[in-house]
Amino acid sequence: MSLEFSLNTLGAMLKVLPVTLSLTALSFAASLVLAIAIAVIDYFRVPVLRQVCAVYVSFFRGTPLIPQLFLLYFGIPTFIASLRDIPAFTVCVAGLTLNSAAYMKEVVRGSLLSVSEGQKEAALAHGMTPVQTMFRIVLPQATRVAVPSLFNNLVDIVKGTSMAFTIGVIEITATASLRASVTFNYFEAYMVLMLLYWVIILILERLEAVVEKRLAVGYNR
Amino acid sequence: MKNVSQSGIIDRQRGRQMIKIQNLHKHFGSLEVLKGIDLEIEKGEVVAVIGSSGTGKSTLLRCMNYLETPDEGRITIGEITVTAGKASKKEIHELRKHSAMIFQNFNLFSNKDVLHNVMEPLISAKKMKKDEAERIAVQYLEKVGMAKKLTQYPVTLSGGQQQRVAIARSMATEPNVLLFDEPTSALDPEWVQEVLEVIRKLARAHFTMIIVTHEMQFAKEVADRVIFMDGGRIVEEGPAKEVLENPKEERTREFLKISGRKSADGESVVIKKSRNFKDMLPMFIEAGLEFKPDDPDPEGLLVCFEMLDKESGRRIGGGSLAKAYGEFLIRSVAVEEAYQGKGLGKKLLEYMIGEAKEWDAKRLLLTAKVPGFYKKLGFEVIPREDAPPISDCTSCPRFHNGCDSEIMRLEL
Repeated sequence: MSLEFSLNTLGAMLKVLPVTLSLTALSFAASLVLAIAIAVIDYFRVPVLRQVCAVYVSFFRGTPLIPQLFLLYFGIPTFIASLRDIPAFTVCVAGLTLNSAAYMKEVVRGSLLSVSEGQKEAALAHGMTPVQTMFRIVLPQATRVAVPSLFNNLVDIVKGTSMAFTIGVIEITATASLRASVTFNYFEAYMVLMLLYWVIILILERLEAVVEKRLAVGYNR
Repeated sequence: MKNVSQSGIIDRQRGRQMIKIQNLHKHFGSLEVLKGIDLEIEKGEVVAVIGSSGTGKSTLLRCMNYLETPDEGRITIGEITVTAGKASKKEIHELRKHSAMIFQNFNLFSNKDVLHNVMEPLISAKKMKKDEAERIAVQYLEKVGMAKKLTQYPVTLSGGQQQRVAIARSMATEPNVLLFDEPTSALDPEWVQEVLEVIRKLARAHFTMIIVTHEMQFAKEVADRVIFMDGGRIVEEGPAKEVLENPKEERTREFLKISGRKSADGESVVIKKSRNFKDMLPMFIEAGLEFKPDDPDPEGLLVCFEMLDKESGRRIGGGSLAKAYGEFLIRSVAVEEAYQGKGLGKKLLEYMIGEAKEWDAKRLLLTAKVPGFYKKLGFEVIPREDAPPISDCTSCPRFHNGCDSEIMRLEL
């Protein structure tokens, strides 16, 4: 065990930590938007779009993340030349987004369905439009229901960013494995890496508790 | 008040047609729930719709704001007419703006507090500014007695309170008609009365209302017209008293007989404690006690006992316990005539004696015109000169001697 190596590796990882964090943040934000859009399409039973979305969800849930990233980064640009110069980081955000939105869509859809039919009827019966009902009554309540599961998806995305190194994005996993393979200090490198992921996720768990508490206002007797 | 009188809902031009339904049909799959309903309702009219479950009452109401899509027919509310099968989204939305519905399960928005529940339709459907919406919301919440709970969320309210907020939410949008879909069916008996009280007030102010209800007594009391539905058709309609007391149709008679049988035995009442002596006055007067509607509370009032019909929540009897001049007094005990002879008076009094013991009363005094009833419960008549200076006159709020009842005492 080399403590010095561990600390050096940690230092190097912290330097690229913003890459991991921004990959996470961008992918999560984009997949949330995409998931809500697909769930709403599903909820209002929009013809054609609904079927297209169903195929997308099924395909991205039915295939692993690494081939998805490879297809996006190496595969598609062989047909479309203009996509060849897109940086690996961007492709990685796209891949993570498409992958996790397919899962999050079901979470969002379930939470939309959890809002009582009666409240929607009450909104309509008092002259609100279906869109107003969705944004002012249904979505706020669905958010509360969806948050615990969405944090699960967020945790998955954090760990999913570790796949970015397969297409050459230098983030914390890439840094750890590069240093490990040069110095053969595999144990220290990966242990420090895993502890770092763990800390990130512990912080997210604390955040989740705070958010859930906030959203519970009005629901406790 | 200004706002109410400006809206279309108040009885300014009573007699003008407000709602017209022509040949309304509705199927659920192969089941025909509405088989051609024709109905006209005037501005300011209160209409009660009665009938067994599954006869299409609620469906009729829900077709009127397109929560159910009718298959055939025309619906006119105010100046808007919608023809089934040809209604555009815009027309449906317009139609919905002309009415407001009060649901059996209240359906308050659980993500919003009381104030914002009422404000929401004003802001999003009526495009009001926030401060105006708030002013109007508070005004209507005052009318239903909920203005003190503005920041509470629905989950913290009783069923009765939730329904009162729901009524305020509907009234605040100032619709042409209020649609009540069994407003008290989901309530515990103790909360029914406060909701009916609010609806009674609306009826007196001649809001145009259609009330689907199972409460015949209430229908008789508030409705101008009663409609009896059976098998998806209007079987009989007419002035409330006429339909409920002298129905012409055999099926109406049959239905009223069945629904009447369920109530009015000793197990179908509850006793609720309150301080609402004033609210009990109409019942006391009805039951023959010498009160005037604006009499003050009895001196030293401790607690009122309201006896409620479990099914309708109607006040059918009651009494009060007071403490004045160091004596515990039972005042003004009454049970409505229709409910007499079922041991309810005894039940009420036993309950009141139990309560007096909890207040550590050593003895109880009352005045009675019919001492026989109280003798059975252990009270004895005492000579006037031995009595403390209490009134034996049910209509005097102040205690004094001098009226023509017996004074009775029970040692506890």
